[in-house]
Amino acid sequence: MSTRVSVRDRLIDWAEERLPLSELFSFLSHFGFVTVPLDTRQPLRALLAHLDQSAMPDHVRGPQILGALMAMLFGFEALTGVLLAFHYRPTSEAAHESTLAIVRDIPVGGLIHALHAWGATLLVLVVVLRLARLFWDGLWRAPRELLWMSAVALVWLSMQFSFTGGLLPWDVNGYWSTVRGLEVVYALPLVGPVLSFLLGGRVIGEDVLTRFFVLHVVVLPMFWTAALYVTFATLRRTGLGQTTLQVPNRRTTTFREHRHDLALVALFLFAVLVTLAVLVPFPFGAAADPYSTPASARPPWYMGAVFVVQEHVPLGSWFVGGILLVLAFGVLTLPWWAPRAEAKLGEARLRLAGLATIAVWLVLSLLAVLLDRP
Amino acid sequence: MQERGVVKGTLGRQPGVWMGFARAFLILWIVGVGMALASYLKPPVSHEATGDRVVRVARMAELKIGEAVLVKHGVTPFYVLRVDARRVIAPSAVCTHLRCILDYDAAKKQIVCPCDGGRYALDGKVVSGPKRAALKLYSVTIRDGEVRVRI
Amino acid sequence: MTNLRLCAIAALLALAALGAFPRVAHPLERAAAGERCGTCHPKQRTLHEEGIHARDGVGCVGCHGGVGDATEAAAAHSGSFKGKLTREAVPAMCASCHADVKAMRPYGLSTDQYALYQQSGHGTKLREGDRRVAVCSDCHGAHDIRSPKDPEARTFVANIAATCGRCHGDAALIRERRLPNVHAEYGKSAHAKALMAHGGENAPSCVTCHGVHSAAPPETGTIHTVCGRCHGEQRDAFANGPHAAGMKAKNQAECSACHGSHEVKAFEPKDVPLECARCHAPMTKGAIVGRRIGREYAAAAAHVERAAQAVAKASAIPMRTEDHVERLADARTHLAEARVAVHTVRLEAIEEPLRRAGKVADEIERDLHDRRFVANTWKLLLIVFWFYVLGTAYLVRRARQATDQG
Repeated sequence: MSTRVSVRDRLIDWAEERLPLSELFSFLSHFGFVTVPLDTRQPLRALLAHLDQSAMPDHVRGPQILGALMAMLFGFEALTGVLLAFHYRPTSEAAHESTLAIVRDIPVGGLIHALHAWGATLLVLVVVLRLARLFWDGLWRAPRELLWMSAVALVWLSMQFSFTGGLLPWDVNGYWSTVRGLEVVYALPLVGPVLSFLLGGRVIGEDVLTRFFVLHVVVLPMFWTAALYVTFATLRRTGLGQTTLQVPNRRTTTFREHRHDLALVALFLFAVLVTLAVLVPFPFGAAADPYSTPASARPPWYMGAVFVVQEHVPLGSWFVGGILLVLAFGVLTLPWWAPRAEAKLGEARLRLAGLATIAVWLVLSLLAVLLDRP
Repeated sequence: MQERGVVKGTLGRQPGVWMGFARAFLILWIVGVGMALASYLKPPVSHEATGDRVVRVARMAELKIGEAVLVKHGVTPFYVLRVDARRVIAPSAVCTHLRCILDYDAAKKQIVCPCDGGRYALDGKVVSGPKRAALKLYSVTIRDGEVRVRI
Repeated sequence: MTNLRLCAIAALLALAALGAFPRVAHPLERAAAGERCGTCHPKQRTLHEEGIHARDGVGCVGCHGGVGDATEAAAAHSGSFKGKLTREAVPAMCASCHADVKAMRPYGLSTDQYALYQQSGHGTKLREGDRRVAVCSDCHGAHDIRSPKDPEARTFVANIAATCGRCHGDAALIRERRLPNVHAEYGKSAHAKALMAHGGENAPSCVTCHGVHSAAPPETGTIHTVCGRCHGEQRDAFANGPHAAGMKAKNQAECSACHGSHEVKAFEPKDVPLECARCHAPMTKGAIVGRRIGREYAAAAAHVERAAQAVAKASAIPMRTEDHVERLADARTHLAEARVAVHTVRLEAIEEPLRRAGKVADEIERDLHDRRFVANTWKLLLIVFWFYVLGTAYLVRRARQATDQG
């Protein structure tokens, strides 16, 4: 025991003599992985000891766990995504074949694919819940506009991750739900043509697949990391503030305990995902044929509401796209218009309005699943 | 039961036991996940699209009666020999004695080992030569005029 | 010998007699271009222009005689004018060119149709004075004679059944002559379905079995040869079985005794026992063998089907099944072999391929079962995994508390 500790100490000493680790740590702490103020002029070992002892609010209790889950799920998706990219080939000929090889032939490949897919589903759920929680607790008010905006950006990005990722296996369901989704996007005034230009054209073929792949594995992760940075940085600056749910968030703990709590959350998250992946294999269809549309092509569940409106409202696709666009930017700019609405309606009614929006969304999504069975 | 009590009792005084446990668990996690990842990252063997064990040899019309064709199929080379209008056989081309590659003697309709002169009949039975096992005959199916051999 | 010689002399005399008359120009020498018959006979002219004779310059005068370029009806209908040909006269008239080797050489046509026709059922009856039998124009058309390669021709392969059916499916005619409605029967047959499905590529029409110009029913005893032209393996199997000699002794029509002559039934193996029972009394050897054939084939086919479903289920998981699909095709080939072997009506010959089909199906099922078992062990491992997770969680909590105390 004692020798082991001394090995660790010696290693830290050895590195500390040769590298400016404190500064590196300072960078990391600024990035947001550490939420307590730190004196980074200390040598690393003293810093670590100090950090372990320092008190901090308990971030893994109650609704605050959503943030931790979100960050962990993203890391988890990144890991499994890198693993999948080892065997995946983004061309229209090889995409389905290579995904099939991952799912079917490569050891543990099926598990990793299912983990990635279920993780993505959970991620969308978690970021949406987190946004709802921030709204309910009023965490969009000054000075936390940036926190709110980054949360909205994370919802957008998660959905775009899911959308671009859905096409990559090039299977029937993914392909055709992408076709329908893109038609809605391209029908938008102004934004549509620009996006069509960026995404590689209106016809979903080789070009679109390549761009979706690059978006999914390079561009979106970069944006996501930036949004995550903004989230942590604003938290460091402004703190989480009190929740109105009155969960014992005033509880403080030490950073060391916090680390153990995070490990526990990560462990159970992993276990739940593995269980889901093994028991409920993620659907993976036959290779997409651009010349035959299956009756069962459906968008992902969170786009069910859009789907219902698009199917049953006798207006062009631009209408749905327009609503989506207004909604998205409306939610993003909430900290600027909501105070005036709050002054008129009162806090309770504003909250109810938010709840009603979510309820409408949920009911429509449910309708999409129930009514539009092929 | 008693043991558990002992362990529980010593916990406060000796957290090192628990750290040892925790280390063991951690190492097991790392070994398990590492092995799974290693098996996943192992470069895949490319498979033929038609299945691993069926070799499409030739069209029936391409094979002359009485002529043997050596098919160089990996570590299991074999002869394809059209016996008459309908029958095709596929004897292994590897001698069961010392793994020499066999020749076909068209005149005697036998398969001959160049190493020791041992002979097999076309049904795989040993005719002459040093003691050895019978030659393996792979099963042949003819579908749509195409000769397929199952290895 | 004397008969032949007499014939030859008669033919020579006939030629000499023809030579005595003023020489009638060969029809092909008379171009249709200058003919004016269409002025009064526009309908016939239109029909004629659609046909192959118009293309090759055979005009009205070639068949009907008369003067083509005359401007008056009386003048046109003079000289060699024959008017509307009687039915009896049609074959000989057509043969005047189509049996002429020299005349047909440029077109690469054979010249034996007339000889064949005279030996056919139609030709024989016509000679006997029955005027209501098919002559050339009934099948080929009178004015609009088309090449058999023309999809609109009555003699195009896909239209042949309908052409024959104009008489052989005519209710009044077949009632009067007490003939079966072979046209309707053929329409229900496996042959007709294959013909319509594949556009006549590999399926027989009426003329494939009955002959084209020599049309007549195949005789009992030669039927298996006729069918065997396409169904060679079934014929060989039939010849190797006890039915071949037995049916010959009782003068039964070989293939058509079971399959029917025109309705050519493709049996489901489950119907085999019923078919056997038509001749073999219950509890006799034949009926028992028939029942066993039906039962054993059905069992093997069901077994292969079960294996096919297992493969489909496995590939939906998804699981690697290319090899199983290959072997499934093997099993189905063995079933096909068994269906051929049914024609031997020898149980052991049928059981052999059925056993092989069953063996392959068995292998597939067992292999898939093993693989699914491996796949299911993942679910069992999940229990172990959760024990391990809970153990780790417990240790993490312990470690957390230990730091509290320390």
